[in-house]
Amino acid sequence: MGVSLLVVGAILLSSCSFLGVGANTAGSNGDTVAIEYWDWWVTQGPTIDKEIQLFEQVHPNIKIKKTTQVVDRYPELLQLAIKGNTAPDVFLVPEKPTFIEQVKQGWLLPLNKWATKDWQAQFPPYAFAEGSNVIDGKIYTVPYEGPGPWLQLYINTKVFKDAGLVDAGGNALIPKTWDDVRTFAAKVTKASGGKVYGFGFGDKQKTILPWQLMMVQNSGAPGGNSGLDAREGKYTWASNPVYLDWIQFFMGMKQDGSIIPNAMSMDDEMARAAFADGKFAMLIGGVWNQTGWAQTHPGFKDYAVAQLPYEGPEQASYFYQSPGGTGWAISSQTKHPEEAWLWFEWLNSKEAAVRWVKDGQGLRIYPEANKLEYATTPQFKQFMQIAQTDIRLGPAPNLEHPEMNEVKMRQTLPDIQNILEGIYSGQISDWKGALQDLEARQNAELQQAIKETQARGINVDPKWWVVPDWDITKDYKK
Amino acid sequence: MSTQSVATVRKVLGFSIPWNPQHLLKQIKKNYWSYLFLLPMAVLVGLFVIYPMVASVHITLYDWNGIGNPTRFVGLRHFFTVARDGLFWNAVKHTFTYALVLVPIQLTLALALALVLNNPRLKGSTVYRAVFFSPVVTSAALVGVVVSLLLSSSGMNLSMALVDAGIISSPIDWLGDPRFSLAAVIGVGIWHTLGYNLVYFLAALQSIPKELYEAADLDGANAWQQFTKVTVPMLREVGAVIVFLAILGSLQVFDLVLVMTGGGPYFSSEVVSTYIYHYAFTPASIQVESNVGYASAAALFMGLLVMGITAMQLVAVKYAHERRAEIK
Repeated sequence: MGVSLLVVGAILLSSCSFLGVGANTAGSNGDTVAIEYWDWWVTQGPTIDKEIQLFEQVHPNIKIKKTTQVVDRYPELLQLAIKGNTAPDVFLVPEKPTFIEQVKQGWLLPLNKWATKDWQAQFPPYAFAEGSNVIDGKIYTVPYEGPGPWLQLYINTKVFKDAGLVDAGGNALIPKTWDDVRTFAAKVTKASGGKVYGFGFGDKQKTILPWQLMMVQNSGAPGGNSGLDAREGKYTWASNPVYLDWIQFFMGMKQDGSIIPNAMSMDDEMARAAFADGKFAMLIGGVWNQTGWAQTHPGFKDYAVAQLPYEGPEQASYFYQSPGGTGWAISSQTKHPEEAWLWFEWLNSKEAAVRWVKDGQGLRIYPEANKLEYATTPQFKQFMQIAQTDIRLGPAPNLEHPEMNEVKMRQTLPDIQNILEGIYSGQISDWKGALQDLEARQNAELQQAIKETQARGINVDPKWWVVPDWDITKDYKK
Repeated sequence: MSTQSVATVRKVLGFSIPWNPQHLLKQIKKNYWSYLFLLPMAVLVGLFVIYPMVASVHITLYDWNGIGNPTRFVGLRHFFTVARDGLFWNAVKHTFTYALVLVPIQLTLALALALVLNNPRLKGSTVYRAVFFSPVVTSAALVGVVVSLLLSSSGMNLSMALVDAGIISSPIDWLGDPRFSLAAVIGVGIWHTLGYNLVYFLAALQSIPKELYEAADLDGANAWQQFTKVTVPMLREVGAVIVFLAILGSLQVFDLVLVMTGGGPYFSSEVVSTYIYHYAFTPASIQVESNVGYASAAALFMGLLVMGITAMQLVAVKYAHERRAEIK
């Protein structure tokens, strides 16, 4: 009986190690450490895998175990892992809850032990900002991304050329204004006899219609698809006419028959594939599209990148960048802080940043990593050039008044995604009324949230949301 | 609860055996192995179903984003907000529409198929049974993903063919069109869980004594008369349970809706479970708080609504039984 129990116990223990229970501890020789790493990157995955390979060559006693989570549910998954004391050692900081909330809840490990003045000095001066990635002098994270518009217009140049949309040199025309987009889209659809469409998107995940709305970003709506205009400190869905103008333009394209009919039921990845397959000519997306196509459609090179079109006749506003920002962080639950720091330091190094840019994954926080000669494709070069011109410094009142981060707005439905769905699917006919209702509800919710924060004893002033001296055509200087 | 009120509730619910705690204890002692084998499942149900339900009652009184502990007490405000929210009642309407359309169609199909499969002359009935049951063992989310892909690609081809044939004037985006989104989900729902009810009906049919059919045959009853005079009456009790389970199951639809349409476009296929989900888990890209407290209140509100309807239905059935007994 005693021997049987011993045998059963041994089997159970060895099963535990097979199943990974008790993983993330030193291996049998006491030296090898496994570091759990989480992100949500799919198209960026191969670049991270390469970094893991390079890192492990330099640090053979550290193994990085990467998990790529679903982006939509990343905040909940991370929160559950933290609650269950199984948080990854190093992870991408999610946008929700707010960074300050994550620090308050003790999710993040302060990095000051390793993030010396010398280490900080390698970053540009705007990388660190109290209230953004530093709290009470403690550094928790550092941005990895360089300044640049997060969305661009992608043009299938073969489709454009087939439709005769070329200049005198035979190059595909580049739409600059909404009218250009509508005209070119109609021409593509007509020239193909309705077999190829002028414009497309994939809104199955219910987040992509607001990306199309981002065409207001360069058109005098500095809040973009958030609707919040810092010049007035409130939501301006109806009071800024640009939003209604955009709806009229976009629905005009739909009425022209220029938008691919299954846009509402295909997701963004299907839309990207359809774009690469030449099913439609124009798509709004981010730089991640490019490495995505390199993986799914390696032969697809007939596309151009342009900045988001504006209402016209001139560009009226830009994308805006503020100091600070977040990137990766180390979990406060990590059992291997030294090894976790080594991986964190590697990811944030200039060398890794240059490899990131050369892989066409985007811009990095180091200006010296973003040289045009590092672009390995003409399209990535186009993106880099857009980043140089379509970005301005914007105000960041929440850095000046960190108490603003304590104001927690509740969701009020229908939100802009719902309203755009309703308009696009024909269920909402009073477009202006819908925008007015949304503006009123969100402004009321903001005021209510401010009042509730004040009632909790936190000093917040509604005036902090207002930046009346902001010229949206220039870098903001306080 | 007093013994008298327990007796009243039992009478209303149709329990005919008198309430006797000592008798119950005797039964448990006599059949303790049965209760012992039931205990693990009872513990799991208690831990993962009952306890969360009870614990979430506390959460309904707070604004809580799911992080840390709930601290912002709001009392019953969420319940009043739910009761006044048109989107909630829209979701309730769709939930009941889903159930009231799915259940009759599915059960009719299931009974018809069960009658066919119960025919001893049918060869390979086991294979057919496995084929019809296979969707049941497939994850609803997976089914939703595959069907969405089909409807978005092949469905578009079908739509274009209809346009070319002049049957419709413009292509239909089946899952992106408010006229068809809920219908598409119902259609998939009927197919997905058909196998459950097919197997229940099949088991019930096989429990009907063959002598009854032989006797009916001898009396000259044709197939339809045998169905209406023998099969249907014998299936009545089991059928009621099947209907009840089908309704309960369809009221809880979630995966299919979330994966196929997300409740859209513009809430045209939103059901209560997705309504709750959208408040409990706001999109990662939007800087507004999730509100687990509000979502819990909506869930409890719906739970009470369904319990109320179930209780009314039980009372109505009991009343109908008593009236029939009086008439006899």
